Amino acid sequence: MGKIIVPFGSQHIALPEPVSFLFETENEIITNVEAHVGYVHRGIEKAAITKFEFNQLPYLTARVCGLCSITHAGAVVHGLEKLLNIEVNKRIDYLRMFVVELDRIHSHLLANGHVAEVVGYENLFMQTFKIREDVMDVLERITGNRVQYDYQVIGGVARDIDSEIVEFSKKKLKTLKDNVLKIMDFNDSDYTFGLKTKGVGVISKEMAAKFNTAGPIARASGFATDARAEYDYLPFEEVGYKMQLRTSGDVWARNMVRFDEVLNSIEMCENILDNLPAGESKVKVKGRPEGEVVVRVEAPRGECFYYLKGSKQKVLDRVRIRVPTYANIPILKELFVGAKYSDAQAIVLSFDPCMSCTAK
Amino acid sequence: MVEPIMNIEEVTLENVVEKIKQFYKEDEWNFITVNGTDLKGELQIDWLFSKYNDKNIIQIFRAVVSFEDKIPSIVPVIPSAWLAEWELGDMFGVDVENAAKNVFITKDSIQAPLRADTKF
Repeated sequence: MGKIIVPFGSQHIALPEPVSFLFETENEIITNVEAHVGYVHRGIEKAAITKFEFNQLPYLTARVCGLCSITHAGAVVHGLEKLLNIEVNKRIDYLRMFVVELDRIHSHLLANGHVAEVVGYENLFMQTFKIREDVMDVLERITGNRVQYDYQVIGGVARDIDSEIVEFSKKKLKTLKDNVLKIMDFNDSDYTFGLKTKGVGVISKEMAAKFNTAGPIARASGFATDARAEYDYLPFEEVGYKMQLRTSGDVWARNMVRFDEVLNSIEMCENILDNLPAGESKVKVKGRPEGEVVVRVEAPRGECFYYLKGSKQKVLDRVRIRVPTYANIPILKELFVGAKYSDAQAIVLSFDPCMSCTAK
Repeated sequence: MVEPIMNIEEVTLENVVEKIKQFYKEDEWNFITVNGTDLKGELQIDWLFSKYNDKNIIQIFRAVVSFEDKIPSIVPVIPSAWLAEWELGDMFGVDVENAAKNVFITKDSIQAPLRADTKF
């Protein structure tokens, strides 16, 4: 049989968001691929330098992505605080870390649920989403929303937490941890699940380095990179952060490294709740941003990069956003070539792609 | 907190590929992205890198160019750079070597949206 072009997206049953791949296939093997990523371009970078004042940017950048809105707002807040010379207290740092790690937990569980669905495990998908509800409840209680959180603001956080929320969160996190261990065990040991995920879409450590791979995708290949360890923005090590690595670099390893990170994030959240420092949840903000700053934060999907430039005006001169899915598209494109078309869904979903972030 | 060290090296379009080639080691430096900033009449281009396993080290190669200049590609040195280069071309309406067009914005969208003189 000759070459066949198979379109995958922009609307496809396996894709949570619009992206288009045109696969050139020969006998079910992908021989070439073309990617289109601009279906949801919303002009956020342009809006940030024309329509919004700097103090509104956390609200705007939270709209880059519904899932990791905490990360985007956090990155721009961190950058603006640098440009405004604002120091925040330790309670604010701890509250920020708490929501950042909760965000990672729910995002990772969502990703692993999607992978389960595309490899044919609908019940596992539903179970994963069911247990995820515990972390959604905690996020809702703290921020007021289940998605699109506006929690981090310049100089602090939008709401403090009290002892009732602390106890509520501890209880939910304990239940979540027990449930995650059960689901993780299934992912780890089920024979058929292994057949569909082990040895599929393998990225070697060398490939991960060559294509500047980010986040859990890199760490699942044993490539040690994590903005939490490489950029000082919050004191993660104080609360038990440990970089999680797997080595097989396949769909299975990407799922497992996300589970490892969920467990580490739960441990960090528990440590934060047990050691929450006293203090105000917001400090005074004054002045206008001046200078340029580079910010790197670890979003659930990997390193999220911001560049901000201001010249003492209400509106910044430049806001540049580079998200982890964007960083991982080059390796994803490489990985498709030589893969079976039937594995394409699992490979894509194992990357946990976010096209809203990428196109912004 | 450790304050980030931002090393900025001025380059030209003629020497940037060679400078990056001499500097870059794939297991030592993370290529972050290429960033454009409209300086109202000129374009500032930053090629940004961070150091693996070393807190807060950022290396920037910076060139200030005309919007009519042809921007060289660093893909022969860094294979993952194509996406950032294509985006630079789409967002600022500049000619980047070997870059496909209209990947980030469709043909019927407003073109070069990040140019300061593009209003909408």
